[in-house]
Amino acid sequence: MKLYGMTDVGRVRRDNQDSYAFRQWTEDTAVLVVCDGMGGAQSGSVASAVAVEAFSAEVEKLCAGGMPNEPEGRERVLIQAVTAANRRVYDLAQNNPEYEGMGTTLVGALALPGEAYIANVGDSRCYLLRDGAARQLTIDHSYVQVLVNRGEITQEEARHHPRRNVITRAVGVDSEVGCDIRRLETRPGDRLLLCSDGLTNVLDDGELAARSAAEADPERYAAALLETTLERGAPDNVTVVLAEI
Amino acid sequence: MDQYIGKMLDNRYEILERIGNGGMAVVYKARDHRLNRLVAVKILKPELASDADFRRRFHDESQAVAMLSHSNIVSVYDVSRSDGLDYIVMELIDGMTLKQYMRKRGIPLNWREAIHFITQILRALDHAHSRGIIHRDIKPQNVLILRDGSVKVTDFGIARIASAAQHTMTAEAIGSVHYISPEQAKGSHVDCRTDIYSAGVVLYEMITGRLPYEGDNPVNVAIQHISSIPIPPGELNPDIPPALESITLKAMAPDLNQRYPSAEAMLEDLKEFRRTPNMVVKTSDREEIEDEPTVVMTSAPEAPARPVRTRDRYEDQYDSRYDQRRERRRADPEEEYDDREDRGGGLASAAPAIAVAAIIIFIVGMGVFVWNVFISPLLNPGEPERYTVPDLLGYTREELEASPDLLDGFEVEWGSETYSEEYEEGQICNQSPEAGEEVLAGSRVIRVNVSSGKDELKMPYLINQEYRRAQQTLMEELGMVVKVEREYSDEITQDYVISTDPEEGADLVEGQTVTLVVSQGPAAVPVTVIPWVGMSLSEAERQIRDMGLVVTEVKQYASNEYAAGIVTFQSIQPGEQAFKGDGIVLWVSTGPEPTPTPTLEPTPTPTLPPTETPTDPPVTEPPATEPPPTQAPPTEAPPTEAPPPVTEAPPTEQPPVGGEEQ
Repeated sequence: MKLYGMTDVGRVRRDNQDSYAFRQWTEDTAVLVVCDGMGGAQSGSVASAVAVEAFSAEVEKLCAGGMPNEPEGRERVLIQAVTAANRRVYDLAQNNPEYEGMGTTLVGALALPGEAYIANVGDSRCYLLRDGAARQLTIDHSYVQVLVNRGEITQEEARHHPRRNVITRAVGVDSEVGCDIRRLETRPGDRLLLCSDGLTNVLDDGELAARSAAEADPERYAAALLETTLERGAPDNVTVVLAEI
Repeated sequence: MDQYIGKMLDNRYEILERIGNGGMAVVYKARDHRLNRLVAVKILKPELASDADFRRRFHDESQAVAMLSHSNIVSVYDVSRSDGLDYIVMELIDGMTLKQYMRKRGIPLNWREAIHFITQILRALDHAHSRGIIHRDIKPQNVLILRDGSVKVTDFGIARIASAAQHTMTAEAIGSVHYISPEQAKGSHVDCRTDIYSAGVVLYEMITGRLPYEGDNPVNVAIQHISSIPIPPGELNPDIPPALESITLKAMAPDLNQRYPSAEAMLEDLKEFRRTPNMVVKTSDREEIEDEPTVVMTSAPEAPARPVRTRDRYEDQYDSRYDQRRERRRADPEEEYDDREDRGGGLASAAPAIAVAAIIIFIVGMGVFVWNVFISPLLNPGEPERYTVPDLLGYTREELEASPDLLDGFEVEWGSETYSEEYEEGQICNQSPEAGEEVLAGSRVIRVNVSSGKDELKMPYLINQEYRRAQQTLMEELGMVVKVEREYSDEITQDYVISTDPEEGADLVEGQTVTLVVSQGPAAVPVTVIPWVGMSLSEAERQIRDMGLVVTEVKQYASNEYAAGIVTFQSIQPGEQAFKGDGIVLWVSTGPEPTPTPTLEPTPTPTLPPTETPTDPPVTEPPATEPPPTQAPPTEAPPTEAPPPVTEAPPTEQPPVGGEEQ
């Protein structure tokens, strides 16, 4: 398995509030995470940086002593890691006035031999790129997603909704947070793409797939996504983390 | 942020103190040293100022807003950038927001006062819309009430600037969505009608004292603006005249084609309403609206919809008032409503003259009202001249006209005719203000009602009215004894009157029993219950929902027979008949009991007492999939006879992944 990560402040923002991390223990065992922070002044960057660190450290700690055998146990690893990240950010925000109200999205993946587990909170996403197609594995916790689920607007309209920046769940704003967990079986050649909305607001699913099909080298694929986003004005911070199984 | 206090911007504006904090900017009181006046300075927050694109929009939009000039809009004097700060200089308003005012005065506001405020808000909107500027965030927090009772709307265009900042934020951080239009909530294209909707919500809040939609988080509230129907204002506050209710609901119509097309159109209706309070608000001429019993369809507002009482006393009064006006207009156009515009006009110009006169009278009345209620308490009572209100009760119009001295310099505003036990037909039977009260110069107007004689009791037209209100009309206003009968109806909405006995127009005797036949909605649809025992809870719930039933409760139950999460028992047995909307209780296994001891004693104690004489005995022979009787939870008798009334709409589809969480 190969892992790549890159982030850019974009063309408009002054600060980069995105953070990412990945850790690999063995050839086919790794954790990846992307967070998109929010909050005034610098606090958004603090939230996302603290969250990626807390999340990946917790996953590594729980897995280092021996991987749970059951899928449920492995899912629990991610739930505990999200809980740990939430606790760290929340405590910081509670105890430091300058961090008041900060929070972050989180999308994390635990890649294991033949399978992967995905956890998400907020609107950062995970895609599976396989056979020339991009499949979104996560469902955003966002206002526009609620509208889409209810059939009020289409996915395409959601992309242009003025309130597409509003999320309904975030790490660190409350003492507890719920995350969605998903398991999938992986095959060699699969690419798992974790990204912040700075990417997906600019590139649609079809473009993610087309670029992947066109670019055999995973690192160059990730770089191409970033470059295209910047070429199109990159209104927001943009972060890409990629694992090729 | 207080770093700015004492600072001089552009060598001109000295920042004095902080007076407000918004999502985008902080507002300071400042002194403009060039013009030597106090102003408000709004400084963009630094995290937003760092975004070049955002700053550009901030300037463009603010410049556009600075072009607005209207007495009901807070003036923007200057848009500037100096020392790395982006700021707007605005008129400093000494007053409070409408939100604060409502809180202080207690809501609901008197509807006349609400009209006074909404009219000014609409004038502000009309002006801005005519210059292509949409407010997008009309709410009481953006409406300032000045000491003299006038209204200024602020923050034009700010919402548009704010939405340009695409920082990720939680739903809680987006501020109030209680006034958001459905098209805004959906993210569709918006035009000036979005402001009309929001103004409608503000009006709704003023007259009813509550918001049309509330929820535990902003997403829920926004969704309701898209897909719910508000409770008609009259149901929340029976003092609201039906026409005003119609105006409010028309402003709040979720369908753009049903809504007022412009602030001007709504102002027209409000104007018409003041003149003719029993007016019929026209819906858009496209098609009828179903389930909108408050909006009466007619193409000719001239013709009162019903000759006798409709709805309630208001309309009745105003019916007769209207008729009275028309008669007078025919008989003697110049007599009462004589005014400058009317001179030499003759019959043809009488109608507009009357209209103008009515407006003037209304405005004068409003002035009195605003003064009494609002301004005078704010001002320190000085030594203005005061006038004592004369007693006009019992006089006829002719008598007053013959002896103008009786009026003591006061003007009379002739209200509607009304029934009176005390005064004979043609005599003034009540007046406001009352005799002996003191008023200030400029407020010397007495509003009177003329008796139309004793009330003859006639059965009002109540069909398609909400039955509790119909009941109230009959009992409280007419002294009837009311009997309510329920029937199914496909045409009449649940809780609305299908028919009455006696029918409309019949003579009534006080204390008589009248019958209201009230809809209980469409006839019940029977369904036959199928077995869900042995199935997973989620699958059972899905099937139950699909069948039109409602799972009212899921009880946990230890079971050695069924794995955890499997349904072990259902409160309505397979093969039985239920009706759509009925509730059903499921028992779900929590897995084997923790103790390995035999399961002899029944674990759960009955939560309900054994039922009162069920016609069917409890099911003793469950189908094959049923758990053995020892395992069976208490057999609460299933509802066998009348189904429980459907109190709630079946749950609407929830998004699959708790997307509506906070």
